[in-house]
Amino acid sequence: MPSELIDKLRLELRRGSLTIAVLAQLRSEHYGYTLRKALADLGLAIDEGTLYPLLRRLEAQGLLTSEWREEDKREKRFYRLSPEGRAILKQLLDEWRSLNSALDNIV
Amino acid sequence: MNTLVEHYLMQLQTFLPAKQREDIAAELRESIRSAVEDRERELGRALADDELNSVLEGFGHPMLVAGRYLPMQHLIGPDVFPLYWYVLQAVLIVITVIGGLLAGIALLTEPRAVQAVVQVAVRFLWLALEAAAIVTLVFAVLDQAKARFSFLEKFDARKITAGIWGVRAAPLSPISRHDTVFEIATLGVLLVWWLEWLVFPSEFLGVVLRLSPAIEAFFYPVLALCIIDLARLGVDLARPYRTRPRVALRLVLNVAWLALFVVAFRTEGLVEIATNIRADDPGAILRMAQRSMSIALFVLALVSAGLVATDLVRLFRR
Repeated sequence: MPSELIDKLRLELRRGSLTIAVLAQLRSEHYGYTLRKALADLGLAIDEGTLYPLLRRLEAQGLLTSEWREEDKREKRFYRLSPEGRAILKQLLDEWRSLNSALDNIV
Repeated sequence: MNTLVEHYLMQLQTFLPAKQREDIAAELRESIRSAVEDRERELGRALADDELNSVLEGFGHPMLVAGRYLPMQHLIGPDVFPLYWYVLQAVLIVITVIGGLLAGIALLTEPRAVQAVVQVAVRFLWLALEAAAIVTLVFAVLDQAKARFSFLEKFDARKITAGIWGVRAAPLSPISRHDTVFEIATLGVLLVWWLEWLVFPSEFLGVVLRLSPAIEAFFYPVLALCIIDLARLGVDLARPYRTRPRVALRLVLNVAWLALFVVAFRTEGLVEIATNIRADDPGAILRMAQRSMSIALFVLALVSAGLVATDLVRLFRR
């Protein structure tokens, strides 16, 4: 039970952070696989079953743009932050920094 | 691409909306392919089926992955759910208790007891399912209304303290929502039975019993009391605290219930035999049924008197 609880709490904690991480990483263009690798290399592992639906949702919300393009003779879908996504990311980062600093003070 | 991957993608596509199906599958196919190629480069050979399976495990069960692409939806959201759960439990408990009592009576009185108990159980199972469906539907509509009109977000404490129908008063004590919900469920079942929308099995020791024409005098008073009491309980649900005017209203209603039970207790022949199926002495059975009715009415009158006393204490306690 404690491990289930910690898993649940960790999931809640990660949910919002993942969105910020994905948006921030997509300031430069990526397709799904390289985005996942880049995030993992930077210390944030995210499974494919979470990442791809998240990308679609962010695109549907207008925060990302995407296009199918050929690379290495293979069609891949590339994602990039939209102008609206850039503005939202800035606000989210401000919010995250203020939350972080408040938490630092508390704990 | 390996057939294992194609089977995986095929299964995933069956859960996706037709418009997005091909696009999502193409993107995932490309991603799986890249992951497989990376792993093959590391190992310097083609992947075996169990290794390929490990790659797919990283993506997750096709149904779960597909579900994450769909818009998040719920029938009853977390704001409304606690109240929905209370009401559903209360309604189902009341139905189960009544069903259990009738099954017990059937077990003791019917010659073919098992058959009669099964009939009661099946009848009440359907009733419980219907009730659960209606409660769910009502709360789903409430949840939609909440989302559309955002009435839970537009909270104004002054409106709550402004009283009910213009009657303002200081709160005395909180009212348990559990109790209110159970009272509503019990009164609701009584009301639908009284209106003959719900007919309970009435065969008793080989005779079919029914309420006699003497009950007609009670029809409108009981109906009016049920409706007023349900309205009062609705207010209790929305504003779960006692005030003197509301306790006074409850007192008046309980006095009226008490008077009705006393008059009904003193009225003779409220029950009569509709049909004698197989009883040797229907007169004796009718007397037994009438005595049971009298005992039930006496108990109800006692309960009402207890409630009247409680209300009086609440009203005059300093």
